[in-house]
Amino acid sequence: MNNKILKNQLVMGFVGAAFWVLGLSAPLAQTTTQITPQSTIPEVKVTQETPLSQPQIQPTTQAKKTEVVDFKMTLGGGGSESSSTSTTTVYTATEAVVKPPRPKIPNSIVVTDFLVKKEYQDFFYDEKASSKGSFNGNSNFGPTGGPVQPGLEAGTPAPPTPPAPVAYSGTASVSANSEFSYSKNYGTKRTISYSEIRGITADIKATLLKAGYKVVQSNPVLTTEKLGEEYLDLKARIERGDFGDAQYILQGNIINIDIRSTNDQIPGTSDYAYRLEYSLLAEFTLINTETFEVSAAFNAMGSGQDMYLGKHNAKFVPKMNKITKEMLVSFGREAEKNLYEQLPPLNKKESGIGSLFSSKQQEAAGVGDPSTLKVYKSGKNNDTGKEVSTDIPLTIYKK
Amino acid sequence: MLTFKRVCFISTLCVLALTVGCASPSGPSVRYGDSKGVETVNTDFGSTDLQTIAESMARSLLDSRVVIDSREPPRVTVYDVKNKTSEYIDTSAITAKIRSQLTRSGRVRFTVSTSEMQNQVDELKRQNQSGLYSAQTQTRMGNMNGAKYRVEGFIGSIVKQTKDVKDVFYNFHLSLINNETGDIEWEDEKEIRKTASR
Repeated sequence: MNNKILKNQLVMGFVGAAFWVLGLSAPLAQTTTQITPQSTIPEVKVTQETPLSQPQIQPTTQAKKTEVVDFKMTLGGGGSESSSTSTTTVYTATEAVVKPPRPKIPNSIVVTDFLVKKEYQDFFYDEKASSKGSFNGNSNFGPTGGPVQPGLEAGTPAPPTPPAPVAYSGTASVSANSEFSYSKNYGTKRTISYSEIRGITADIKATLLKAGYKVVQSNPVLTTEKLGEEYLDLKARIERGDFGDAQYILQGNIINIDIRSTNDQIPGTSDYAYRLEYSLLAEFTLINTETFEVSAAFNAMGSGQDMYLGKHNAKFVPKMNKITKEMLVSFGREAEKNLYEQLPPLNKKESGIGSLFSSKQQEAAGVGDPSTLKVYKSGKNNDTGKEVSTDIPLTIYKK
Repeated sequence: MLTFKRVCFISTLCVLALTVGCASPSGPSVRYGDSKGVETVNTDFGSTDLQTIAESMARSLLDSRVVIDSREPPRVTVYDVKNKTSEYIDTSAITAKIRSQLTRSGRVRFTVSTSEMQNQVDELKRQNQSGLYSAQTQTRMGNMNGAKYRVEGFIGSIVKQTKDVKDVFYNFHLSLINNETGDIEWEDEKEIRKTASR
């Protein structure tokens, strides 16, 4: 391989030196070509496995590299040849490395936060009416002068002049304008809101940990700017890598949150029971991130309440923390029970990244189980002659 | 002399009268009798009727399949027995008698009835809402046990009377109902006939 590269470099160097000597008296058209010295020619690797018509360049560390090569170039060893005498050939070395799928961490589960999608439908009614009117009046009226006097001759006394008649004229204009507009809009406005509830899945995570699974934290959804329908698409989120390398995803969707406030008289007494109750109903789906297979699915419900006994019209201030705690505890218990019944068996063979989390001791059956008594066989090291104990127990006694 | 004799006679009579008057009570005589003895004063509902009905019903209920087949003593609550007769009968005395006999058997467990709820509510309020009791020892609200069954019934009577004869027929009816399903799990009745004649 080194010989091939050396040969290439020699050829390139020779051609380059020839151009250098000629002083580039006839520069090639279209491009201002700067022939780089031999030492700065990029190192070119030819992959033998995928011979292409054009040489494939795979840089090892650089993200992108562009070089202009404007001379005949012969690449040895690879069996491929690219020649260009008058055109510019641009080789772009990009990160064309196809990433192999990362191995999933065996027995790992991401418990997602609860996504709540709420749809509201509101009826709206908008009715507008407006009117605008204007009235303009303009009049012009006045005298415009009398009849013309006849001409008098010289020497004649002027006859007494009767008062001249006066004519009056004028104009009057009146204009009125009226506008009226009316609009009515009504219909149904649909609003969809998404929210994320955290802190509900603590008991479920604890259950998974007790069962031997690795619980992986997922990325919160609301950190993303836009939150829409696409975030309910679990498959898209898996492919986007929101859940890392987890093997399973336990996704919960809240079906309903019910809040009830009642005050009923207790039969046989004069007292009333004031009660505030919260109940939560959710569905869970356990999905394999590799096969998208649904491994488990169940519903869980929990409720919590606070109560006050008193006479009619008593003041009841509910303890919200008590209600929430009761609801979460009962919800967690039911989810735990249902989850236990459907959890897939643990994969004993750990590989890939999962092996980083396991040790030899964990691979030995029964190790860590306090209900077992393990007997190990001692052996001798051939080099030192000292007795060493093996990691695999000889016998495991169970209670 | 004669006068002296008269005075002595009269004074002796007075002493005797005083002695007798102080020695004997003025009302009827009182004595303890057998509480389970048969009482036949009149045809009205009496202690013998009460005991007969309670004993009969308790025995019948304990022999029912509900009690025999259940692993744990079933929880029962008692409703008032309706009085459909023309006379005043304290029916709570009948149910209390039945309940005490069943409770003593240990095979049936009773919860507080509706008529006893006021005391129960008052006690819960006192412990939970007064702020006087420690959280560790106070009885919490919302943990009362619900009864799976309820007992209810009625007592009726038919009275026939002539100038010399009065005949009263009592019919006591009791049922055990499953509160969840509404099924009548057990039912029995006790009939009593009492006749008075001159």
